[in-house]
Amino acid sequence: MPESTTNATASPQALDWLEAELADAFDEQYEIELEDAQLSLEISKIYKDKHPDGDRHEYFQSLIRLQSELIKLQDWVSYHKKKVVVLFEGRDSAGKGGVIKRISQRLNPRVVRVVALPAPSDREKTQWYFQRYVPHLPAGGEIVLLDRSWYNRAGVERVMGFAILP
Amino acid sequence: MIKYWFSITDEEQQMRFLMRIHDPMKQWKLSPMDLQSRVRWEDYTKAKEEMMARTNIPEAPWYIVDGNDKKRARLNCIDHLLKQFPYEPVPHEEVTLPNRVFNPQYERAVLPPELYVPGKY
Repeated sequence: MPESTTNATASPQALDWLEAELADAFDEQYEIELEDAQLSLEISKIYKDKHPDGDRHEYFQSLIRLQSELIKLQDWVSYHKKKVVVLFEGRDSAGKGGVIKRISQRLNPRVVRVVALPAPSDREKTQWYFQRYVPHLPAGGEIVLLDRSWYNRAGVERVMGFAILP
Repeated sequence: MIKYWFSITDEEQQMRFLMRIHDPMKQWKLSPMDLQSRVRWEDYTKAKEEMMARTNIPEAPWYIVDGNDKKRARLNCIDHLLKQFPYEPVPHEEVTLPNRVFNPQYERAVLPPELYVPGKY
């Protein structure tokens, strides 16, 4: 987590340091975006043709603005001891993971947790499907982001024949 | 509790899967199970529709995010999420950085160099 910098004076040194710190925050964002670029060139070209890059500058600006709002939300949840569950479902590769990453990126991991459970164990298979999610549900002042959820039972599990229909 | 469904088109999923297959940094995201989901696209659609019909309840409605444009999907989803809460600024204790106390007797014990991770970069 970034150190608190409220007492930084406006000396040239402090400004340099602040600049470096800001650049580092930006790099962090950039690294995450970079993974989209690590593709074989040919495929990435086809993809780019389909998805014109748009205004990256605008995207980053909006993202940072929304992320700063998320911090306020986090503080509010934490202060009022609210319990929040946000769950993400969707087809594979639809972008659930990407949005979860951006939501949690600048938040306090003690307040905001990401839960992505692996396939159920043999023991868990004999339990109620919802049961394995229970321990992960939030306490007061926590936000839990579920990357897939008990609704999997109605999706993949069902299509792949793991769920027995009533 | 808030529920999001990320939706993409058949064509878009095909393309993303192809990219993952060719990208060593992303191959971990593809399990044999995922590949099956290409084959069974239509079954998935049916299962999804039924799930939505049965579980879209007023206490916990589904919100569908158009995921074909990743960046817009992210912004739209976060923006929507924020709108679900009447959050407002909470009282913060003002953060002030206390001064470090200097003790004239303080001497920094030197730790053996092998405790440090090599500075390779």
